[in-house]
Amino acid sequence: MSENPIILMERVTRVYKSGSVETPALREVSIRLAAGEMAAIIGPSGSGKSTLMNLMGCLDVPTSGLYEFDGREVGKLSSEEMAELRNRSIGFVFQSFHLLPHATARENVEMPLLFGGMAAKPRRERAMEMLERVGLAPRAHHLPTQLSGGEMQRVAVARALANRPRVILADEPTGNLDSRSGRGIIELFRELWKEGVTVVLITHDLGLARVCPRIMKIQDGRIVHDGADVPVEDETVEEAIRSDPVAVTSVVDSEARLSGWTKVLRSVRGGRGVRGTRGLEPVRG
Amino acid sequence: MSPWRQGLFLMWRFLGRGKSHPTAVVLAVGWGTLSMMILLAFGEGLKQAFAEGRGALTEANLVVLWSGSTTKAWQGMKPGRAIRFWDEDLQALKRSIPEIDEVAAERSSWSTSLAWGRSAITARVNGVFPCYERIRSHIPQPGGRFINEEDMRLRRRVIFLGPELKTRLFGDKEAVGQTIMVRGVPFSVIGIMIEKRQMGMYGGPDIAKATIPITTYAAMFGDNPYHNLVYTVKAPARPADIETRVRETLAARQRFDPADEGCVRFWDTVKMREISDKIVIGLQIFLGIVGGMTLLVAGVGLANMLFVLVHRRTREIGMQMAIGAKPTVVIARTVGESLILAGIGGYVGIALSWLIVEGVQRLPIQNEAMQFLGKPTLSIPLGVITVLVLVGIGCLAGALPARRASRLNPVEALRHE
Ligand SMILES: Nc1ncnc2c1ncn2[C@@H]1O[C@H](COP(=O)(O)OP(=O)(O)O)[C@@H](O)[C@H]1O
Ligand SMILES: [Mg+2]
Repeated sequence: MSENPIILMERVTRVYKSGSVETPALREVSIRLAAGEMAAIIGPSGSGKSTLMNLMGCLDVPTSGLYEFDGREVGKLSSEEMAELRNRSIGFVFQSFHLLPHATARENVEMPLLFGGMAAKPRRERAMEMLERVGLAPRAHHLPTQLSGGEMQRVAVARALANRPRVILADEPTGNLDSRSGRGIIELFRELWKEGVTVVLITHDLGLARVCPRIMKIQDGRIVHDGADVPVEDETVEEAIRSDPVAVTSVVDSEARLSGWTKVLRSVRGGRGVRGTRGLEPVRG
Repeated sequence: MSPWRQGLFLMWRFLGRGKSHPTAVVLAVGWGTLSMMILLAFGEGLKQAFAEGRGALTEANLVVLWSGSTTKAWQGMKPGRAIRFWDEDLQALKRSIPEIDEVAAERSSWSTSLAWGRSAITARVNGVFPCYERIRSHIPQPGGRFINEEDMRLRRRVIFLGPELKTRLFGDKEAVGQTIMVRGVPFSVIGIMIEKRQMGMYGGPDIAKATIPITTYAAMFGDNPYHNLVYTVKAPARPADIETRVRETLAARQRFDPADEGCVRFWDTVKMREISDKIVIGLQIFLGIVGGMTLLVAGVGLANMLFVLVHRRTREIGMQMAIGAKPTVVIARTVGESLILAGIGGYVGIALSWLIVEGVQRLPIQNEAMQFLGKPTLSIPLGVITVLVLVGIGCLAGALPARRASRLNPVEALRHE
């Protein structure tokens, strides 16, 4: 990677303190991401994926280590500058959408434009344009409660795109969606990537992860895999489940625990249907 | 668009949407302002009623003096002897005490029958001196006059009526010049007293009495001692300064112990005024305390309400910050909201209290209690101050939790329930 990275983390650590208990959620993570890359982050639940994503999105600051976004050291920015960075350069998509409940779809999409200081008329036009892009123009005046999960997530994506950010960060964007809606969202991200936007997404779905040219795996707060494909041990588990979900459980149990798939297996044991990998709903992290 | 304008825009756009009903805030401020203003309006009315009543006692430095009976043995006489004052006592006071300006005396007949045409009533009739016009504010309405020296000298059968008495006897009809029967004796009405509100009174309000020359009174009812003496004191002397000398002068003439409290009782307007001053000051302190507490309760309620409102919005604030809202936006929205809601509440409160006070003023009740309550008077400046204080509290109570939320990092705010 010769060009300047848009995301550069060096030995970044994040420790949560609640009272006297300290939880090290990230341990000395170093990541370089060039502008225009598309990467997936996978890993068992509780491994620190969201923590990493929040740091990347400037929603949180590292306990130690260096984070540079597009050449600027985030730790040195004021809260105003952080807000501006989030507003202009980053589009964040959350698993639980985080739409403003009392605002219509269009108003939600307008929100980042408002905080960017755009005037009313262009703001409305841009919001409609974004809603059209995600195929929700007819729902512009609906409140989030009047929309389905897939539609809410599309509004959230439209909102993330509104300011035409250079980076889209999505934390399990398909986690609360049925697989078809999830596919649609990922397709959208791929399109954006092709247009030159940097995309990072967290997913439990190895199938979705494979859509990305780069896959990182995080475990116990450390990057344990960074490559063009899913790590081998996950492949094995996946294969095993696919071939014979019930028989395989005891055999791969120990390995599964290692790789964090225990819960999935348990749900398999419990008899909830497994119809191939594509239909395998991940356990929420 | 600056962050402040962004915040105000948000406030305006989303005012009243969602669970946080802004009406509660409006009501809290409205109610606080209303109670405060009504309280102060009635307090002010009461104060004015007091001041007016005092004003009617223009009789500056007026002393009324009653005789009693001895409670101690004196110069060989047993206690329990009734003391009586006569015209000589009056003259002696005037002679021996230079601070005394005018002296007069009064005799009263309590239930005296008065009749004019078909209407017949009983009322109190007093025999008085001409100087009552001045020292006891027996001021005639235009078209009439008070008793004069000629009436006194000639023992004329002329009568001066209190306005209430006049109405009882004559209704709306013209009374001056008419002849009425007092105990069957014809008297001609020479004047009607102007309406006056009286704080200090003895033997009932002046407006309900009739007065005749004391010489005429003596001719009708017999030459008996005075019921009470009345005198005024020249400034800068005060009634209290000469009380001992008055007591001594009368004691020497009527032969009683000057230290015997039972023989003479004094009542004076200066003492009355001091008492009413104290009442007014007490009233003001009381109103101040009650007003302060009202404001405090309203303020605390409002602060709590806004605090909860903004606290509940923490997650929403997190969402906004995650997509790039600056802390100023968050604070501006909340402060703007407090300002608008508290402002509307204050406006509604002032308007309602105005309506109530106007309504009360128009009530056609004309009894003693209402008169004493006075005319409730709105103090708009105080209302505005109340509203400003509440708006100030509202802004603070909104700004503080908003600032706290905006200082969280967005992830923390988003995790808030
Ligand atoms: N606010 C927090 N306070 C304390 N511990 C936290 C907090 N957020 C996350 N953690 C802990 O940090 C670890 C990583 O969490 P997270 O990044 O959410 O994992 P993932 O997204 O991969 O499921 C977990 O052990 C989690 O319990
Ligand atoms: Mg997570």
